[in-house]
Amino acid sequence: MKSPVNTYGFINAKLRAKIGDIRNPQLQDDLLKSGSLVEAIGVLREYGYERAADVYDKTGDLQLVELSLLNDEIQDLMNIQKYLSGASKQLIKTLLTRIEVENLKNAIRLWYSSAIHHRPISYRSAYLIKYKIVNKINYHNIINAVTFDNIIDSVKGSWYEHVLREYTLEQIEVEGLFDLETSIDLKLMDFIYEASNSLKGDDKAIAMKLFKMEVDLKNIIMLVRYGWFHKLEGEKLNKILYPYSRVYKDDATKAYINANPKNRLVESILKENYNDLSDFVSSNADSKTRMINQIRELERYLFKKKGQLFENCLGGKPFTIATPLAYFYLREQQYSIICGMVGGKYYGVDAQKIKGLIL
Amino acid sequence: MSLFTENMKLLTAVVIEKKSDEVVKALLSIGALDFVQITNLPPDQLAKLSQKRPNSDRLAIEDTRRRIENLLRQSGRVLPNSSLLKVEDMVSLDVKGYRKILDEFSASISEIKEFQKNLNQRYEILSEIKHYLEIGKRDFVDIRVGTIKTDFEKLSKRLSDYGSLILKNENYIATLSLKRDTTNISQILDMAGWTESGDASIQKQGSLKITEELNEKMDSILEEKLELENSIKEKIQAKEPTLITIWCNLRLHELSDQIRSYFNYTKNTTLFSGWVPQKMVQKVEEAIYSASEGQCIIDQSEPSEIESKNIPVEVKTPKFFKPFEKMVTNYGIPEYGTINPTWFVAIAYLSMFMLMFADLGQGFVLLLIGLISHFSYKKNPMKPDSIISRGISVLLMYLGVASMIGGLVFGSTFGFSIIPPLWFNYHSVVMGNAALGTSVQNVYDILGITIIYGIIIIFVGLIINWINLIIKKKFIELAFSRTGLTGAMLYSVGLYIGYIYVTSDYKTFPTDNWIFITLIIGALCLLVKEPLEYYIDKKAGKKVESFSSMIGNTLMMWPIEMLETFTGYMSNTLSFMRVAGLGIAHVSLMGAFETLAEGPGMTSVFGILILVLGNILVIALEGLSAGIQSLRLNYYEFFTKFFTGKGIAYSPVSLRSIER
Repeated sequence: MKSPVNTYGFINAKLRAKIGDIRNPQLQDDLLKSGSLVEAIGVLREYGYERAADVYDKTGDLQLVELSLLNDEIQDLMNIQKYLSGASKQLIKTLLTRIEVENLKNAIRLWYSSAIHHRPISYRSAYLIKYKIVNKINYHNIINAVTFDNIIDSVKGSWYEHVLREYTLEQIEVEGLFDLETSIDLKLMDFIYEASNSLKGDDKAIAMKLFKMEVDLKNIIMLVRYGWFHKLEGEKLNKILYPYSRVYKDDATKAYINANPKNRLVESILKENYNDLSDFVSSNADSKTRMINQIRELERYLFKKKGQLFENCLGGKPFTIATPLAYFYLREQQYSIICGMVGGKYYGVDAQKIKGLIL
Repeated sequence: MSLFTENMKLLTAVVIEKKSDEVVKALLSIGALDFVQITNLPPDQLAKLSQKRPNSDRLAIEDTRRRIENLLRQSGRVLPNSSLLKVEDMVSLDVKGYRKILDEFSASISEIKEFQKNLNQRYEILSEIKHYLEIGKRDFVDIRVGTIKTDFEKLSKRLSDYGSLILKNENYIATLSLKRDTTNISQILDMAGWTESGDASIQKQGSLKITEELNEKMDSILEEKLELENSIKEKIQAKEPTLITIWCNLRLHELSDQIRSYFNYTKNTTLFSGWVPQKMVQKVEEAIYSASEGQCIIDQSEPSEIESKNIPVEVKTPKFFKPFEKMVTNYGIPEYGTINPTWFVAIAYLSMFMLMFADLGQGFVLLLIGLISHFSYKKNPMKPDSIISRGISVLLMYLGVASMIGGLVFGSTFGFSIIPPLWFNYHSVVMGNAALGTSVQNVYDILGITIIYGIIIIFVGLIINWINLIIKKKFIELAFSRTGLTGAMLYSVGLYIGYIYVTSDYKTFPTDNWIFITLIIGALCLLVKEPLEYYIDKKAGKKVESFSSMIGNTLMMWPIEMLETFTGYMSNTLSFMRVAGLGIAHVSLMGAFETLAEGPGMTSVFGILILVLGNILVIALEGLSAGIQSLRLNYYEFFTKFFTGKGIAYSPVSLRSIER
């Protein structure tokens, strides 16, 4: 068996150098200060995103720029896999599946829009990744599918097939894609749990800690968003939660789920699990707008908390899976920030407002 | 190039306030003053001085300048740089106006970009259809041929929402769309009174024509896209003179504000101070005098009046040695008044590389790679640095020449002994076929040569250190430190012991009494250094630690110092064996490839291929390894003897100051 130094020595040194680049706040600062999208693309070019900038030069299409950035991210993350082996490699691969899941969901949404709602999706398929990320999926077949069986055939042989088989065209026509997408997300979370659990020693402790934190944060967001704002029925709400970790198992959560959706006291779950979060949401919010603002604040706080935990991981033992996981997180965050900022520039949003919304 | 760092002088000037703008321009134009904040005045006088707020918002200037750079980057042209700056071009600043120009210009480009985006989206749909036709997925594509009863233009417009292609012919109308849009397309066609043609030949002809139309349409969109892309570049290029003029003015104001930030004011005068290389003093004084029309007072301070650690250091290096200056400054800046080590580094680095990678042919390849990449960067200044960066490409040229000289000295060309060596045949010695009667017979002789080479390098380092210590008047350190005369004495004794041991065939150590006595004296010298410095500092009234603390430190540090002296010098010397090691490995590898190439059953083609691949491998791996090892020997074995790197770099505010 390889020692931790042998396993992570090279890749972690490489990633730490890259993390230094990602953490450089200058790119974000320069993007914010750019006067227009054209200038923002100039900034991207300066910071080494030449490929994305070239895409913009040739197409003028911001969504294709975002796709190019995502492609770079995928290639980068795929490269990390190459330097790892065994359970660590499997976990990274599973995390890479998250990007694939989002891409698959986008493809199914396009199909849904075209086949069920008969809305033209025209050029939008150009914004999908068509190559294999982790599983073999025929995206062309999905967007052009006539029946739901065509979609199942397009993911044949992958774990998505089993998830999709639980649904029928009629069910989707009536209920939409929410349940199907939730099932995919739940299954993915199972895989991440299994992959984290199969690690050993420090790696397992770190991966499980991050997994549990992420599950808790996601569950809180869903409890607040769907349980409080959308007033989802108890049974349905319970079904969309990730069945792991503290928040899910908590008695206060169970009571909250079983309560009348109109009378749910959101503070109860927050107070029980994260006392510092109870400042963000109040059940007495008098308007939808106020509720949305409160949820937004809460989510922002939770993402910040998540970021802090990843940062803490970087300060721990050097030869563990913490560095690849933190890199994964930072890379995703960097992608979202860049996309958010160039998007803001495209719509002419004020720099301060972009900053407030994204950072 | 001076062997030492440049002499500096501290100028302090008082000029009449109303002339301060002219003085700023004059100072910027000369670009020789490394400003310092005035702090050495008595507190009551310092209190009378004030600092003015800058004339403009420096952050706004910098942001606007960077906006221009980002725009210019989009045209693929070289960004403006300091070579364009002329102080006489400086005009009053209008950041708001500049921003307006940039906003309007960006907006005009955004309009074209929006059009480009729509065009590209159209292209994406057509390329999706084409892709399906090419991979035989015709069931994803819907081709219809028929006639309509209503207006063609109307139908064409409605279908365009779905990215469909439509073609009108004398006898029929053909449409090409994606099957997934069938429901909607059928509705639109029905509304137009569509009748599908029943004639198979018309159907076939229509299908063929619309497919041809697809290719033509895609080609025309592609052409249009390219035109748009170029038109944006041309638009930016057309605006370039205006943008560059604004850029220059912004940059000039940025630098002027930077100078002003060091100015202190009384009611009617301006006071500033800064370091200037001695040879520039007269020029700077004349410029201040002329700009202020003689209404100024300039005072000069000698470096001796100021602690040397606060004096900025200018290292003047001729262009030829620039790559080696970078090696020095990457490690640190020499202290003021000490020896500039660039010369020595250049010689040491190149000679080390030459000994490790001696080959006329491979050196020529390195030279060629260096030349090609250097000129490729020169030809395309916007090209980002590749693995062979700009700096490395220049260095490769030097290393190539060094390697070629090594090849001539040791008679090696692509691993073959084609030319007679000027000294000895490295290849033959390593392979055990050295010619009789030559001074170098085996690898031990090569190892010996590199050890002697290492001893020379270490002593050069020590001598540089002694000169530096004499300049700095640190005589205690010169006499009693590990890198002073005591260290050299102990090292020499160590070398003698080693020499006797080796010449006795590794059997006996020398037993002379003087060796023991010298070692005792050396050890005692190391011990007394700290107390002596303490005594001198205390006598001079300097702030010192307590006596007990000094004694404690001395007793703790002494054994460590002793250990470091003995093991350090020994490991430093033996470390130079890597020069021989890499040289031998280089020859052995080439020999191995040679043997492989001449192996049984090997055709001449395969043999040549093996030799070519072998040479490529050796150039890439050994070249890199030799380069790194040479740097390592310089940094750890050579620099540690004399180089503190504690100096501060001389960085005057000038037109050439690097912008962020």
